[in-house]
Amino acid sequence: MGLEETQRLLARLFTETALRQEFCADPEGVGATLGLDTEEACRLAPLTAPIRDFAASLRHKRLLVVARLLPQTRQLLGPRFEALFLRYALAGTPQGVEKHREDAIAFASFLLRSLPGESALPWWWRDLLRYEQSWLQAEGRRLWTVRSFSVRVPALARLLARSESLPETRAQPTLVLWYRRPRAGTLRLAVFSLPLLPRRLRDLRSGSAPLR
Amino acid sequence: MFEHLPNLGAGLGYRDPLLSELFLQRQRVDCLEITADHFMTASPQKQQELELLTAHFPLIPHGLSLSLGSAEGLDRDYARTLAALVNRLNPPWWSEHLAFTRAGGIEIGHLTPLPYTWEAIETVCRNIRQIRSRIAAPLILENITYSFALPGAEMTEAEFLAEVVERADCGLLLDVTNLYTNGINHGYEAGAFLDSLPLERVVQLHFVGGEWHDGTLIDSHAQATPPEVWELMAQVMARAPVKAVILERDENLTAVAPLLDEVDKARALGRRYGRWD
Amino acid sequence: MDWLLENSLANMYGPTFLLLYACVIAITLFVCWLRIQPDSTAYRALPPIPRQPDPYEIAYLRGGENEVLRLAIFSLLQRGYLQVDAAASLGNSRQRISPTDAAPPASALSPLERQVMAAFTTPREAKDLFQSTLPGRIAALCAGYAQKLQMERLLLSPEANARRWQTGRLGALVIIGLGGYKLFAALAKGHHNVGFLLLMGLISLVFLAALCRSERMSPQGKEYLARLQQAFGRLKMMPLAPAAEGAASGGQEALLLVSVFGVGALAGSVYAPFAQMFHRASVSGGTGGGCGSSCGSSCSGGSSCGGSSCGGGGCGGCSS
Repeated sequence: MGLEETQRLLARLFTETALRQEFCADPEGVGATLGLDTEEACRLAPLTAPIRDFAASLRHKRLLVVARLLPQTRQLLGPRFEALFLRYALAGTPQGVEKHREDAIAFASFLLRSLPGESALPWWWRDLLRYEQSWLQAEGRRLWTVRSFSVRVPALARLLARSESLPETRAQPTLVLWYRRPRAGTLRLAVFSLPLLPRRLRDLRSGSAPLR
Repeated sequence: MFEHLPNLGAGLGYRDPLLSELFLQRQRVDCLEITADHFMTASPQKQQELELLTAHFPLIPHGLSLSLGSAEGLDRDYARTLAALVNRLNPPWWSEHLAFTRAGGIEIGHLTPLPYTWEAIETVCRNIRQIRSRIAAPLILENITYSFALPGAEMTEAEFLAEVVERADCGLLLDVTNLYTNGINHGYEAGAFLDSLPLERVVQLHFVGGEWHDGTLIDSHAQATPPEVWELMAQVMARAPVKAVILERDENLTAVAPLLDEVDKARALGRRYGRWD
Repeated sequence: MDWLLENSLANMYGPTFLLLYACVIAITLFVCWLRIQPDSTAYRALPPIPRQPDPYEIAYLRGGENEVLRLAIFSLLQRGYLQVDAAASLGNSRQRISPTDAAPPASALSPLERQVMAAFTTPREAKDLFQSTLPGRIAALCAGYAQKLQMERLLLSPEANARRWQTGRLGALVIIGLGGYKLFAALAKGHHNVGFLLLMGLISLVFLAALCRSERMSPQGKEYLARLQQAFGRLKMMPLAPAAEGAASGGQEALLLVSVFGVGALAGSVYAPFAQMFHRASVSGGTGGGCGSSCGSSCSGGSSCGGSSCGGGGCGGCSS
């Protein structure tokens, strides 16, 4: 097997979970189906553990990058962020120049689907996650993106970034517009919030006393 | 052979959380190494950020995904975009890795080692010739860490590295931390490795700290540089005409002062060996 | 006098005149815009961001003596010379600033800061300061900044603003002259369907006023400020530590943050009451803005105004 074929095989083993698991369980048998002769399969067989470790390090590296792109979500979820990401990452490896941003956007969607009735998190966690996801989506678009939230989420994210404890937050319908002028560089956002809801309505909305 | 290149001094790998601190502490940073991949997309914001950096710091572009070791050849679109960026910046040199990151249409997502074979040397040299036709600035190649060696080696890692840079007439970006890490994990002497290298081709150094995990040293780029790496850097500085040294920290970036202290220390080391003023 | 009401212009069919009027307005606006463009020979490359940026100079660029005053008060607050009235609650609009009981020696203060400190012999509300003579005295002390920024073409000179004003008057003369004459002629002939004419005239005058209004910063000045905001954007996320008491200068990062982005950037920090106070002061009649993000205006950067682009790199981080 020449260099090109070897590299193609390695690329698949590093990024395709099912193939990697089959190969590690039976290098000779699976190797034969992939075009390896017995000698080549035997030479790669001792590498099953390093290949597994390398694949794990790829997922971990993706985790580090996505954690940087969703910092407040990571702060909120704590150790569960890593466990959830590693579960998500088994599905495949992102490709393309924008792979990291798209990976973070896809992971945010995964979280929104996977944690539907999460009671251990503050009631505004979905808004915070959607806000971080929206920033990433807005960076990929040319001129504008608009989203609605039930809390004044930009200020909340800033408070969370500056403090380790959860800020007290009241329901406040908010519209956020990300925009950049044509030919201008910086992505900017404008925040439009309705007046704060009365305490009674806020308690009904959250179903519990406010945090802190 | 690379004497005409400017002496840049000590700097950092640019990471955008550091942006404001870099401007507050500009006198402590001689140059910045930018990750080329971060500035190759069309985002106007990143382009403005690049213009801001270009106006205030000498920049060295560092590629990640050119995949010079890919036997199937370079990705033409990526090569074209990278060339446009590097030519626009007109740096004193630019760098890439002696590795592959892509094969069969799959992007692996990490630097993957090459087998130390003559076929791999031919592949790398062929790809370097191709990218040289697009980029005028000198190319320097970096040694990577590896957790496993591919079977079928026809030479040692040091011989492989030396052969590639001699045949392709490239400079060397000697990652001292990677050298130390590989020496620990694969049981060889870093000093003997250095003796096998054409040190006159060393243009730039990388350094940073890693961490131990289950008996293996990981190049996490997250910790302070250990004494062993400083010692190795001193050995290289004493023997090689180093032009720049870059602290390549990726994690634990909130406290900037320790990073700048390390850059100061690297600068002092270069001064001690007469590499710059 | 027949010629006044019997000529091609006065007799022109209404819609035809409106078309002509629209063309004249467009040409007038275009000519005015051309006239107020800076001389191309006056363009200079943007100055680099200084190695030791002066927060007061940046504040002056951004908002004149009022911004310098806000920054000076903030600096004095940080260093323990002034305090926000502890007895007042956040919602109390009569929150005041007063000197501390054990203020450090004034020798560490700059002349500008001493001038500000001298205004606080008694507790004062923020809005009172802007209505006093203090901004005028601060402006005199900032003459050096004004001169330097004008030389660097970051601020428009009084001559440039006078030219804008003159251009606006000339443009208004044309628009009002032509439209006013036709209005007079139409009314004199008993035609009262002049609504469109009035509307066109008014809208064009509004455009002209916006185009030719006085500006502090030149286009280069705005670009330079945008550069500063991009360079120091990360300061918005840094925890703000108070400066040491009696220090020669306030915490550099906090001062730079306020100078580049305004007091609104303090929202959510330990200095939030200060930001609130000056927001109310600007809303209730104090001259000058500095509203910042607490009013819901723009914020640039990633989520939590932090990094959303891949911050890693290098061989061990974000990559291929």
